[in-house]
Amino acid sequence: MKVLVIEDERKVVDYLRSGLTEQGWIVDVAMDGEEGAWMATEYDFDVIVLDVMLPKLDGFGVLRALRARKDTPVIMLTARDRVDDRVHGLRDGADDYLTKPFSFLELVERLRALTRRARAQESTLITVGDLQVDLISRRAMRDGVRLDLTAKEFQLLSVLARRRGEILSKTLITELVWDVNFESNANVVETAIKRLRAKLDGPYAAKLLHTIRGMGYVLEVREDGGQA
Amino acid sequence: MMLKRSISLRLSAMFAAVSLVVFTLTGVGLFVLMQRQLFNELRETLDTRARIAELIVSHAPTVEKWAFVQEKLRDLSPADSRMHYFVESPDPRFSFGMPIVGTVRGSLGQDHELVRQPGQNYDVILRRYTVPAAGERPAVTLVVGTDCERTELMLRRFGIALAVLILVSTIAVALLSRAVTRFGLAPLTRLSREAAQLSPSNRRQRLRSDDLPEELHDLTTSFNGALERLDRAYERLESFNADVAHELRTPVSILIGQTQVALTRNRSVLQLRQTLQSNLEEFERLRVIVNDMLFLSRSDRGERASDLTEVSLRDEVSRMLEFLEMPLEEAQLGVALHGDATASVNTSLFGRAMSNLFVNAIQHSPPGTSLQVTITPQRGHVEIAVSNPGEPIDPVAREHIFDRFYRLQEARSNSHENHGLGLSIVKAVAEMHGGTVFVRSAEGANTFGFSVAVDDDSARAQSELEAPRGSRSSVPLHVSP
Repeated sequence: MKVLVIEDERKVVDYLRSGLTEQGWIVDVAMDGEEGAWMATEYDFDVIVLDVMLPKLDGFGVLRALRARKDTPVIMLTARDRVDDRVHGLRDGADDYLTKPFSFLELVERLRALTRRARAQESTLITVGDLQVDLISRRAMRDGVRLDLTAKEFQLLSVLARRRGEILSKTLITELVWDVNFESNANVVETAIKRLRAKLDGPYAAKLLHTIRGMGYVLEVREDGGQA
Repeated sequence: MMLKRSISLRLSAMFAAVSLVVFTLTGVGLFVLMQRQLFNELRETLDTRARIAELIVSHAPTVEKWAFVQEKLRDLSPADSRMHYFVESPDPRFSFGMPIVGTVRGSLGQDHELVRQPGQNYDVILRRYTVPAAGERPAVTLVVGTDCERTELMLRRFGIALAVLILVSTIAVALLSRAVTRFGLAPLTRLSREAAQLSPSNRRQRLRSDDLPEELHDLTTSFNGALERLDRAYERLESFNADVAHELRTPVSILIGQTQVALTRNRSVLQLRQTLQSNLEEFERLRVIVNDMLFLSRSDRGERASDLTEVSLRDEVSRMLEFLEMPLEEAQLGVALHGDATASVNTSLFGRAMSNLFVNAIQHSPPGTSLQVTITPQRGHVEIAVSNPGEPIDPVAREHIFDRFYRLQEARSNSHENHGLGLSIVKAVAEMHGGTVFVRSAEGANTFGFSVAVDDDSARAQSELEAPRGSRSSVPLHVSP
């Protein structure tokens, strides 16, 4: 998957390049609007990350130039949290937007959604180590023992299991499990994780549900078997 | 341009214009009156003289006597006299004088006519008498005339004098009224001097309104009111800036400190990882503060909520209760939900406000108690309130509790999780929906709530349909007409 990053902030470019490369993307970079517009129209990319504030030609100008010739999905980065910016961008053909400051995990999530990149095999029976999650009968077994989970706890587990090995941010979990799309200062995710962890990992030596401080949670088998 | 800017100039110009009109009307009136009077006088003199002449003519039946008539008539009209006599007769022996020839310009009353002789710039008033025949004298026509040269000259002079007088008085009025309005507007000048001295450095200063005339008193009072409101907003902004700086200072100093500590020695990967993770937590905190501040500034700019959908607020509150189920359970709190209403809201913003109200209630409720949520449709708006049992909040604190970064003393301990913007976000959401916020303390319960504006018709329809309150299962029916 090829992504073009059009952004003039050197530090942002650096971390996006290394971060996205590590996630398996092929990253090209343009540092100003004119170069970006030229690259976006001359070469084929699967998705474009486009900053609004750019030297020479602003993001909207790049978008118009691109849309005159191509339908490459575009995600806009805007520093101004203003509705007119969004309307402006989306009407001109941006497919999505993120407001700075944004989280890297969220950007990756949006890029995946835009390119509909296939996730790890979507099956109805997911296995993580000795954990088995049956999405159809809505049952979870660990080491042959059925886990007694509430509906929400199961939903949380299935979200984590579907994306096993991926770090899920609290924001994303809130959205996927509760369909709530704003940041809440209620400790909903923490509480739910705590309860799920007690049932999932409590009696077992090998822990599967790990907390990545400051980022989120991941469900995976770890060599050391311990918690991060 | 100048007239637009200066009230006193404008006023004196208007006074001058008004006096010009009044003076002109008076002048024209005077002139007409004078003219009529003078012409009447002329006519009367003419009539008196004519009667004498008629008498003289009618008493001369013979040629001998006619010579006497001619002498008499000549005596009646001396060289400088304005009177003219002329006797028209079929018999040339009985005639007198030269006929007055000219164009008839009109008549004066029934008997007099106005004649303009060629080469003259004044009229002559003529009256004709027919003197019946007597003796050898045939019937003759006696014409008596008087010229108006002097009268017309007089009238012309009078007119010019009037015009000059009018002009001079108008100018005098203009100058005097300029002085008078300046004097009258002196309080305004003083006021503007005072207002010019207002500046952010002496914000407490107000305009003095005690010795001002009535008209300016109201203006000054409302102006001072506006200053007061601006002052308060300015004060809030100032303290808000200080609070923001303070709020950002903590995470920033943690970041600097722990990063410096981590870099002073060779650290293991694990140690470095821990530092980075701790940094990330602080960054997250900064991000949340920045995003919330941006959100608040949007509502400060008067932005209204978009993407409105007509929903049952009870359904939306229930959705948030489902979301907060676990924290509520952990805090051992029950929830009772009363009432319902439909309103057009941005469900995401509404949910955010509800979530913040619940988080506030959860933090301040003793375990084992119950929260009461009420949705009350009212005229023009719907109130949504969450009450929790607790110590009554101090009235002073109540006034500020929706202010940014305002925290009650007890809440300061867990400031790390709670950056003090929760309730001000509730307020912002309410304002974005055309509503307000309120807090009440009564009977051992504290109630926090907000309102959203609704279309009046739908609100009334809703309140008629409102089910009896107090039971959780009382969901009102939505009857469509």
